[in-house]
Amino acid sequence: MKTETRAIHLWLMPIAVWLALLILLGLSVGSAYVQLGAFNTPTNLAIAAVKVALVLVFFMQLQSSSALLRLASVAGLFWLVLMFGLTASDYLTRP
Amino acid sequence: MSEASHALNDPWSTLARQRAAMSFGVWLFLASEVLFFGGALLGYTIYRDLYPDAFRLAARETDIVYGTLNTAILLTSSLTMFVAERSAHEGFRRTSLWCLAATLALGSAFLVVKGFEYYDDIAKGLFPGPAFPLQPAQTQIFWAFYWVMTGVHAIHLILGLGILAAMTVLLYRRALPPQSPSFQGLALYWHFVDSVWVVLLPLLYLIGRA
Repeated sequence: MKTETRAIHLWLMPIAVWLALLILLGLSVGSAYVQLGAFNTPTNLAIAAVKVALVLVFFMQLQSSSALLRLASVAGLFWLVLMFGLTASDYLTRP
Repeated sequence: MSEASHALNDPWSTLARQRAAMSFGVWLFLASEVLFFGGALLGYTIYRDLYPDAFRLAARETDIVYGTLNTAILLTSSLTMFVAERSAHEGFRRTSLWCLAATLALGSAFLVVKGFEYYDDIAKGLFPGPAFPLQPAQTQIFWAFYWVMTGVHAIHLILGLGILAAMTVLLYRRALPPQSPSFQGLALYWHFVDSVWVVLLPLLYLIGRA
């Protein structure tokens, strides 16, 4: 029978992920004030993507999930890409 | 009859199958949620592409202190929610209860901060309408997206808090065993709502600052 005090091992990985997320948050807010011209938004979106990936892989446990769950997790993103792609093919190509 | 078998519901023959079904069901639901928020994100993208200067000007008026603080609060709530779910899974009822309570507190703190922020926004007149303080008129489009996106996100968080509060009480009263797969479903939803905020932060708070 495991004792409740052993619960400490449950904290190690999530705290590391949480620290990484806070560091990325700092980077993201900090970089927003740096003059990067057209690259401010891509930088911030890239940092957000890394943060979401950390949440998905570790907090939502995709690193230990079955193939079925991994597929289900990208299903929404797949259709989102189609929706953005098809819309952009109209709006971004208008003369 | 052990606590773990008490967590098993019809029609599943084993807890492992019930757990798999729970995760799969919630992930499918989250896929529909991605597209639900995706509609607003797509609208935002198109309008920002059409009126980049108005969007930069308008976004400068959002409160980056509240926005950043709330991001940190939600990321921390994901940490406590993760440990709550994992410790419940391992049968550590007390740790799980404390972590669920911490998640409840952090989620509520997010809403309190958001309330202060909304109060300030309204005091500054930043609600689209005839008396809108910013020019050009397209700045109102940004603020319409701000209210819709943060509002819909807040509704999701409030729903999550309700389910979280109910499950915390059930666990405390021993009406729900810690091994119940429902904790996994709740945690997935919670982390998703956190992820949505992570995406909203650069779109609503971090543009037009440099």
